[in-house]
Amino acid sequence: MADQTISIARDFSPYPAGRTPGDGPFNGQRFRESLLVPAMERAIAANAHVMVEFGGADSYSSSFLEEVFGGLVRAGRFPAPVISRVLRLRTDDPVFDAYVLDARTYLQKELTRTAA
Amino acid sequence: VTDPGPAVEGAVNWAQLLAQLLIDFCRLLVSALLSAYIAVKVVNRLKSQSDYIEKRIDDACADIRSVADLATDYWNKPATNELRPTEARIAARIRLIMELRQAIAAAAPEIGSERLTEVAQDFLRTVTGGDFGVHNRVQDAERACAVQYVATRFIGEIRRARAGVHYPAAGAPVAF
Repeated sequence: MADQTISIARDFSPYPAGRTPGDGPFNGQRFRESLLVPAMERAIAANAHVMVEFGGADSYSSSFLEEVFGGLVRAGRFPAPVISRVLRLRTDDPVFDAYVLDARTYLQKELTRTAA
Repeated sequence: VTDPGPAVEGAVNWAQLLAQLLIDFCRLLVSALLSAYIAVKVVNRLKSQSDYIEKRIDDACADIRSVADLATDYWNKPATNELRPTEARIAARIRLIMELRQAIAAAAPEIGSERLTEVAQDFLRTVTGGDFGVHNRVQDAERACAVQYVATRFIGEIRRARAGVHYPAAGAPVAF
């Protein structure tokens, strides 16, 4: 089975913002639960990767990114090594490099915290 | 047939010599003029390219300052519908700044340096981080101030990179 690709702008919203449903309809928790977790489950079953594509969105608030990627580790659905192996964050657009870097930092921070 | 004599032969030789000298002089003159023309063209081209880059850098710096001012107003107030257009302006101008920086870096590689990329990313995450775009966002006075500092740093780093001025490595002695 091929890798799972999720484009945040195309598959979710070009205007993602906030952490929880109280922060707006396109919040991080909703993205994580409705798109990322199911894609992770399919990818794990197929021994594939989940590619999260950042390009095309308006911008990414840090609350959204932290909830999606830090929250993925905190939710405890997948062991930390599995997340590290399966999840790939990428963008073809250099403008979004900073957001990808931030998302990786949130992810890494939680992975380190849970490993400690 | 009468012999023209040595005097006429000498005159012919002198005429040939003078003609040759004139041709050589003309050749030298033409090549000198051509070289000068090419040099002027090259210098003008380099100058216009440099002016073009400077103008684009000035545009980028003005945009950075304007985004910082918009962002200070934005973060200094809680979220309202009236601020939605400001939010859109900030996001659009940030995109423009980043695109402009890439375009400038194609002609002036110092603008695409790793150090400047880090500063640009810091600017981006300060302006659009936190609860940017969240409908129930509260006022964030600290971020409203921080955007001014990161914008100034960004502009300063661009000017410094263009001028070829670099900070000394950490720990290196600084001469005043």
